[in-house]
Amino acid sequence: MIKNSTKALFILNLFLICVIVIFIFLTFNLQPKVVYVDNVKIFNDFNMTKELKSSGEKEFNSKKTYLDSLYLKLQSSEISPQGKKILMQEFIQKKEELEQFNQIFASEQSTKIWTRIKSYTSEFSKENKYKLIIGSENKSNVLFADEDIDVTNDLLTYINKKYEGLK
Amino acid sequence: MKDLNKFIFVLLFFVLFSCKKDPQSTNSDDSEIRDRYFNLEKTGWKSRMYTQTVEDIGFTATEVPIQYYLLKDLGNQNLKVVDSLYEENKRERVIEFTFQQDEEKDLLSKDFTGMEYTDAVKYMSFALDKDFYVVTSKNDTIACSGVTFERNFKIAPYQKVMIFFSGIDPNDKIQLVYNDFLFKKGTLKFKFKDPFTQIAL
Repeated sequence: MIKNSTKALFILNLFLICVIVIFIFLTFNLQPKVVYVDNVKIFNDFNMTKELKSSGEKEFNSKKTYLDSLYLKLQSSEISPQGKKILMQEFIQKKEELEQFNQIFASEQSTKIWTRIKSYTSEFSKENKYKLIIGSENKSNVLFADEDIDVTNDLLTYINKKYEGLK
Repeated sequence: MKDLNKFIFVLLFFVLFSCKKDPQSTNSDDSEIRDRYFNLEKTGWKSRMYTQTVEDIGFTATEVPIQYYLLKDLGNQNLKVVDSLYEENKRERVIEFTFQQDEEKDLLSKDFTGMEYTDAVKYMSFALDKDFYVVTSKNDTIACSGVTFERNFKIAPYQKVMIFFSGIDPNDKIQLVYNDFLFKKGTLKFKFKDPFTQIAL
């Protein structure tokens, strides 16, 4: 009788250990290793983008206001032809500067922002044990993806906190 | 016998009046200060630290209590003096800021800064204060009042500067903002958190 109950207990324990092992295995393997994010949303809603955009707009507007004032001066009939010539030269130079600023600022700041997003995303993937994060623009590169593996909002919260020095 | 009495009297006179009262030792109870400093030391002088990593460069800001520097300079023999100096300067903040490359390369080289080595050293020494400011909990911005660049002549694998701010409430939580024009990584923000969780009793 005692021998049988010991045997039954041994089988029961073995069964329970198996159940625990399977449970642990499934828990660790159920977490997705490959996830995707919406690049456009990440870029536009990142605090760094918003800050740089507003500072860029301020600079652009101040340059544009100056250019407009030059244009108004050029239009007035009170300036001598010699003065008009000098003003025209300045106007052309400032216009070129504005166009150059417009092109360079956007590309330079975009590079900086993407560099930062990549750095933070690397830390985010390490923390969440993701093997791959696919960044798609308006889902054009991803034909199908389950919404469960869309971590755009999680990543956005993470990078914004990290940028503000809160994480 | 009379001589002996005289001798004892003189002896007692000297014994009673030769010990001068030390004005410092009369009020030497510095246990409250000692306890406060002990707690600071136990928490870790340099525990309020935050690191931002961009690509291969790590930017670490450490908020160090000014008592640390006072104790380092004056020692802990006379804590009343240390504490009075702290009270005089408690609205000052000192932050240690280090730049370190992942592979321990020299960050002041042209590859990282895009300028000559000497120009990079000059920038670190004289122009870096313009790149830092602090935001208080009331959203006030406070400009950096000074920077000291600790040159290590390539011995240490990092570059370290000490930055100073004035006029900040000693209990205020601050956010350090660094506009990186040297390595061109953009704006970096650092919020200092307490290393321990306070329990509401």
